[in-house]
Amino acid sequence: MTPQPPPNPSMSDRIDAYLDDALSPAERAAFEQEASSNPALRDELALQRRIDGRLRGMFVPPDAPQIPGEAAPAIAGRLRLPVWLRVAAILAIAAVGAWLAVSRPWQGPRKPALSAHSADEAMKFLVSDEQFKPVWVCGDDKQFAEFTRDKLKVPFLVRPEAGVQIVGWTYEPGLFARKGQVLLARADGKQVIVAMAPEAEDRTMHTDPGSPLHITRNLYKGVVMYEISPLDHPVIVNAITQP
Amino acid sequence: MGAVDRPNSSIAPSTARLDGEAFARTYQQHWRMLWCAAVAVLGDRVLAQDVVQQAAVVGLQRLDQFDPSTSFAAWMIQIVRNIALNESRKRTRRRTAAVDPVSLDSGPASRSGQDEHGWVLTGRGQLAEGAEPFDDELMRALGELDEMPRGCLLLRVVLDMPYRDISLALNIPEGTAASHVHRARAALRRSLRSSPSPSGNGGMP
Repeated sequence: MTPQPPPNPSMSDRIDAYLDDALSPAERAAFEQEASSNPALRDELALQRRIDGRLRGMFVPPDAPQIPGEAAPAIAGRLRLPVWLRVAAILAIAAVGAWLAVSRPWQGPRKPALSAHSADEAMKFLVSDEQFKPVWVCGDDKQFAEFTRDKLKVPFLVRPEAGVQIVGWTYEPGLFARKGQVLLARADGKQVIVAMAPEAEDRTMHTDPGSPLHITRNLYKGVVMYEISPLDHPVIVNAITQP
Repeated sequence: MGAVDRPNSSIAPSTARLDGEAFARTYQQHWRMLWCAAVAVLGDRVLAQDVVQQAAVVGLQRLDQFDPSTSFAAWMIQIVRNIALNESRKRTRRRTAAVDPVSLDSGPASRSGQDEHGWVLTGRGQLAEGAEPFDDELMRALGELDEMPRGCLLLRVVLDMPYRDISLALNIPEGTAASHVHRARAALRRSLRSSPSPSGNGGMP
């Protein structure tokens, strides 16, 4: 890694203030204006956004375990239980808590959507910020199927269709799901993204008002897929096939 | 330019003394924050989860010692950090291999091109030309930060916590919390600026 000169401190401060939403409207507008014409500032801002996005994507806090409320007072010793019984209760609750955290029995396979996400933001992130570049490419069907088996636990292929080109895979950018992958494709020259994740990670995806994008959801052997496309018909999720 | 804080912060002290049920409820409300604090020490998501659960047991045992005029979050985070530091020391002594796919300790292994984290996938897809494991570089850079700036950064970025809440939770001045976040961000950018990105244009997305 080549050592780089430190950034202009004022630039760094302003980037933080911008990302912290701590600028006045006038300051914000001025900052955005400058970022559009200053490549160094624009690159620094894009890098920080990418870092923040990846941190959010990598460090998704797990769900809180359940602590049975009626058992808690006993643990606290408020019922004046014998010491051995308090210890046993603590150990039992800890074991139950650990089991609940790991197995999450309250989360069935049809878990409700976690939160809503904007397909427009996802497309903008991957097209504008990430420049629609893949991180992984698969040279043949065997690699593709092994990639999906490794990442999504289900091997599958995309059936070749005229006018559809698979570009490759990219990181889950923190917009979809913690174990998600994103397939980049082009169809009739248009950029298409397909967010995929285990069904347990499913969440609502929506388009913004007036959006030119269309979303098609599909479920294939426990893998949920959202095709986000400017086309009014899906080209990928309906072409999923087994190897 | 000042940080924008939320009113009626849940981090703020309350005057109510907690019984067991209130503890359980409050603990669950603060779970994400406690987890982030543990991750900041350990760099291991799964172990952090265990630590936060251990902290619940300790907290319940010591509930009589909790002063309700102080912040529950700060009190619990101190317990979490103590347990996490103990775990970290034990782990250092044992030198066990990290099993968490996102682990601050795992940078060198992944940078060496190993399959441990799935970044280099010979036979299962290949890194695109010009692409480098940005996440690995990020984790390495994060691991090089001190624990406190790392904790402030994670609370700010991952949980979107205002600086005032971070300061209350970690028992540090608000300005110090902001300074930690700003310096941590700058340090990460400095480390990652020359890390090639998927676009291959010198680290800029």
